[in-house]
Amino acid sequence: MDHSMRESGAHRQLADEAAEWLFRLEAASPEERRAFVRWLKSSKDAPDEVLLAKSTDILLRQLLRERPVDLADLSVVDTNNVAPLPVTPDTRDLGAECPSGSSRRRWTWISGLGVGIAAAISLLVIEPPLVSRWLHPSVYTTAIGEQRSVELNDGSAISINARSSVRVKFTEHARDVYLTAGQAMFTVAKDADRPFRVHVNDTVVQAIGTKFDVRRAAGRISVAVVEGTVRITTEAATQAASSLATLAAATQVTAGEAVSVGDTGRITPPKPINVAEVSAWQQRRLVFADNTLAEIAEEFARFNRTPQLRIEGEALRARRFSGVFDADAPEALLVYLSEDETIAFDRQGDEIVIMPRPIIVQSSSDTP
Amino acid sequence: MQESLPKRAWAIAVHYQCELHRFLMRRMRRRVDVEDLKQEIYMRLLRMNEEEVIKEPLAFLYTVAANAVSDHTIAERKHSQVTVDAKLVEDWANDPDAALPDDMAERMNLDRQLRKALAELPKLQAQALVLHYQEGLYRDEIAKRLGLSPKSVAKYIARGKSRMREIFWEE
Repeated sequence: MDHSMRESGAHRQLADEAAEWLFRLEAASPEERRAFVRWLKSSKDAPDEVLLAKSTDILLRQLLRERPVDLADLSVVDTNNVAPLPVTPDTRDLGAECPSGSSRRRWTWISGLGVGIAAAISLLVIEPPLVSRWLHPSVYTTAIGEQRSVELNDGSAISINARSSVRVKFTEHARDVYLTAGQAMFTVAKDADRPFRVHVNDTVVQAIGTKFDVRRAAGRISVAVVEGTVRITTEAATQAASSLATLAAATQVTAGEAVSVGDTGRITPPKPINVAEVSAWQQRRLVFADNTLAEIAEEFARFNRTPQLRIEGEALRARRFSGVFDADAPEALLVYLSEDETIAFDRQGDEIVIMPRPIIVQSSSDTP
Repeated sequence: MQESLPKRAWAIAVHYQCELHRFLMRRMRRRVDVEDLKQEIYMRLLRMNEEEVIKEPLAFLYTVAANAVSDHTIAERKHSQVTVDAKLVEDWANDPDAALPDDMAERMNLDRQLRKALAELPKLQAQALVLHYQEGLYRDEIAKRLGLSPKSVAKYIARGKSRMREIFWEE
């Protein structure tokens, strides 16, 4: 499959030329641009090399800004003197705002550090016996925009979405995980003797060697199964049935299905899902299928401290939209919405107000 | 999905660029399809109105490439939705570090390679790269900071970049 990717001299030259062009194009005359296009058309590798050169630029910038290097000794340092990115993306930077790069995350990492420390401290206070497991913290909390993956000592893995919190409690007989906020994807290693259970309030999702996603938002719990089967019980369902019948009362959800649990503990019937969409958030992609604008704004808030999106008017908050967005680029949502002529925008500092257009915009006098 | 260029190209392109960028990231691991895609991008570029392209060559290139990737992805999904997804899940389950290169594992890996490479580069070269990409300084400012001529700085950055390109895309 790998058509010999070996580097020939000509190839290397093309790569260098591409880098050189990228640099020169920043202030190029029409003649130079013409020469560039001619060069671009000289070989099918030429456009590709420009893309690679540009991506290299982006990667370098993102990696270095995310975890800065100390100039003096070129060793890794934590630094606080990084400023947040401007809200408006530099549209000329290919992928500059893309998730895999997460240049935006460089400052949420820092705030994430604070949350992590806070979590570690509360852990010490609340559960002194855990001090011995200091190096293996059992609470994982992510900040806005931050995602992380953790591998557990049984070989299971948890991918934790932004603004989420997971507590892990493993014993000899059970593997219990508590999703106290947000969303996480669980990939469960098989262990017949120790059931793997995810607790969300009174709802328990028990895995049977599988991969599934659990999310809590707006008072609902959603469970989507990517692989294998899970069994869901809620306090309400358990109370309704006798303890022996509990297992039978549990709802079984298999791969390619999702259910949600409301405030009352009622579990909706399983509905089919697109497995790729369920995992989309891990690539920092937000997939909306007929979601309300309020829900969409909430999802973006999970990833972005700014701009904050505020939606005015119940009717607009309840309007439904579909689309795939970059979690780190709320601007794309605005571009999308701006095609709708009934919607207007107003930027107030870090906040973007989305509102119905007929409203007469007054000069705002309610500044503090 | 078809846009009229170049008027709103940048606005729309920034949206698709992420898709493109992700594809390029994925490309590092999955060499499949790269040759086809290269060809497709090239062909589309040849078909474009040259005078238009010259106005904003990079915008056109990125948009053309992003569209090609996007069409390619759609075609891939149409053909084999189930198998593609199942494969992805299976790979991920077998080797969580390898299959979803977009995720943190991939970036941590790149980060490690970057740091290793920086340590191996001649010190001035590495410093020039860091000043440029991390601190966002331009050639002349870097030259002043490091006591070099702007010309050497340009050379160092070019060499450093070329090394990084190899590391990111070939090793």
